[in-house]
Amino acid sequence: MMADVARSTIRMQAFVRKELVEIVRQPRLVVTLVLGPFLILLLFGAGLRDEDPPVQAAIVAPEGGRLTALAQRFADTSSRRLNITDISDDEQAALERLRRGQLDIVVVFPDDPTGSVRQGEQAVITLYHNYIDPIETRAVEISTEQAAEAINEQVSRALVVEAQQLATDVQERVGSAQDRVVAFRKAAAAGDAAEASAQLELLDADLSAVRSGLGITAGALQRLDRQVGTGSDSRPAALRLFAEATRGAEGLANAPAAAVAPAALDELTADLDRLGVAVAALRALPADVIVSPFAGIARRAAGIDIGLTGFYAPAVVVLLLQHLVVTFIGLSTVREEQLGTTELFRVAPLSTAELLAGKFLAYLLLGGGVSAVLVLLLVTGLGVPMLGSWWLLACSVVAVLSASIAMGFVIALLSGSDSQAVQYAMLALLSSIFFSGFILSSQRFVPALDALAHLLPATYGIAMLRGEMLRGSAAPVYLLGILAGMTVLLLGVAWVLLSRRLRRG
Amino acid sequence: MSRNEADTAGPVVTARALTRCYGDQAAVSDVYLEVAAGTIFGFIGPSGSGKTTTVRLLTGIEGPTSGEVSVFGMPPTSFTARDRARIGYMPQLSGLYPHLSLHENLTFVASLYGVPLRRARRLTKVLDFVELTPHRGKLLRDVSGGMQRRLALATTLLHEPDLIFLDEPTAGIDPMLRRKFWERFTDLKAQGKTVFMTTQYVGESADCDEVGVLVEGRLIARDTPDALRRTAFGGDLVDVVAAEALGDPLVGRIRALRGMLSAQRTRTDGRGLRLVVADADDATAWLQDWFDEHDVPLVSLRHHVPTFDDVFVQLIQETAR
Repeated sequence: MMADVARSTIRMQAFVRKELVEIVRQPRLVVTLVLGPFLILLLFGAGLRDEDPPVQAAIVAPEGGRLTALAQRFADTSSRRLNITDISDDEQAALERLRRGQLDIVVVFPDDPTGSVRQGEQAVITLYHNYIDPIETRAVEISTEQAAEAINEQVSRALVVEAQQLATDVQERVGSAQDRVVAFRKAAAAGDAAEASAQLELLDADLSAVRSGLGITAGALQRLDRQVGTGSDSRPAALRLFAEATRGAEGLANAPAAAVAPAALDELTADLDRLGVAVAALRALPADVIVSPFAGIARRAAGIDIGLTGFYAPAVVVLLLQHLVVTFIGLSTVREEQLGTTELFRVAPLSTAELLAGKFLAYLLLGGGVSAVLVLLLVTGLGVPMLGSWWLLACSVVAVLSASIAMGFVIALLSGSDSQAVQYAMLALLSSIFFSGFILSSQRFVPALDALAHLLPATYGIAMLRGEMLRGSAAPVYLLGILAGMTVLLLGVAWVLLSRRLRRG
Repeated sequence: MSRNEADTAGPVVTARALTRCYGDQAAVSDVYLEVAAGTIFGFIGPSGSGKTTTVRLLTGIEGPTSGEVSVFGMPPTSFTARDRARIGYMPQLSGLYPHLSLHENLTFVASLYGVPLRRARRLTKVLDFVELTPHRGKLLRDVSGGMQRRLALATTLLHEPDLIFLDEPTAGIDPMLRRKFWERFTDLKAQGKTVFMTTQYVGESADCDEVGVLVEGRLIARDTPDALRRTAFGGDLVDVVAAEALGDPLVGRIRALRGMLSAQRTRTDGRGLRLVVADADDATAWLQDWFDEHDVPLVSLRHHVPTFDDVFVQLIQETAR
């Protein structure tokens, strides 16, 4: 029994040694395998420009008037990508240049935006472009939407600035009205009816001025209140204050001084105080804050900056490992068939399990070594973050490698020639690039394709390595479990296929 | 009785009505074989005659379409790992790895057969035998085809099997080394090992204990080399060259001699005859006396031993007829 175990171990180690020596004997292959992806990522990181490529653009707007200024403002507020080469009113000429490829986009402003707005419709700024890349197309669309939003904000800002200027007059009138109330009280207390009536008239004049000036100011306050306000009263606070202030003053001017109730004066004083505070606040607030009270700042929870190189690096490692073992196992198995080695195996006292186990261990060691070198190069050479545990990363790599090796066995045993093995390996690689989350999240696909993506070890590997390296989070145990299950299942299929191939008789 | 004792009690290899078909085509048809332990069995036949298929049937790589095959007293397809370890197999394609050195290839096959890791001496010995020790570090792809065949033979022998199947082991090997191979085969036989080999060198059949001739999947002859010669030509051959032309009446009288199986002219000048007799050693003596008695002066009279090429061709021609 012990002798059988020893012989079995000797057979398995023979495959481990043989597979590794065969690969090491091809140094250029090893260098290509390990340094190739690293150099590609290095070039990718070093050669990638921080800013997006410039977009040649022309703006079409009616000649003269405010729209040209608006177009210029659009040019100024657009992202730095946009290189506005021309602002004119000749739409056909601009579109012809677009067709010839001299321009990337043409922005056409509406002829009569005021008319559109008056009819209760938005004035539409149309963007024509010549992109076929959906990502670039989306980027330009987003830039256009942002620029349009910026123009809207500028229009609003102009209104707010105007309102703030008027608010200065309103605030002075509110202060004057408050002084009149004090003067009225004094006159009434002194029994000077004439003076009291005069102060009431002056108060009425101040309140009228407040009423007329508050129209625009209240609009600005209303905007501010609508955007950030949480009051239960549906009416804007400024209008409410204004209504309260004027209601308190109603009838005061025509009433005899003696008929003015002290409580009404107290209420008016309180309302004016609050109105004064609100108007002062409006003046004190920057126009930009009123127009855009919220600003968005995205901060990564991990607190580090991850560039494109960092984002793609873990996925590249996973894809490389999967492709490496699938290709090597495929070629090794087909080559043994072509060399006639399989015939030796069929005569020798070799079991299917020993052959599978020996090769499995060989490629686990090979893949483990390659991934260790590659990850170290990426972390130390390219500065790719490694926020998680190295041990957990190693566990994930082993899990991905195991499933990939098992998949490689199945592919190899279904291949009839080396070119077929390479083709199958390439299909697995392409599927992984498109569906495993390397470029787009697998959640973006319809359920059938999402399910297909989850048949690939790379899908789990990319998720796990990105989480461990870039987020510092441990891979969910269920993912490791799925990969382990996949490994067992595929090894079972490989065992059946290999047993048929080695079957004697 | 131990398993090995049981094996040596009867033939090591037995085939009865062994047939293997691929579709409608019979690669091996109705072959009967018995190979005794401790012998060298040679399997000769033209290319495509079914020699390799027979070896594959005997090693259990393939199963028969019909008939029976038994090795060590059991069907090869039901061998256990221990049974397989008693067999050495050298296929026509070596099956070894081009990117491994000769020594690494040898080590790999040794491990396949579970040879213990303390095997350096054994590996050195077998490398010495095939004269590859100086080249042990070279990659297989960098050595000649002949050296690759020698290494393949070494991998077949290193686990010291009881039964050795060699599919054209001497193909591409120079005559000197081929002779050494045969010395080794004889050594193996002396150690009680059984060698079953196919060969394209018909002359090598002479060194076998028993020879089988396979033509178009059918075993047309199986016997010792000497017996095969007699089978091919109907008896022993004696060549006669007379000093003068032999007249037809005289040749007629020679053909009528008792013990004379046949006589054919061999020279255009009428002086030569090839005689077929039951026993050449006995016949040369009384033939010399007969020619002396009849005043027929002879230049030579000797026992002709045909080459196995001739035997092979004769057998195939006889079969064709």
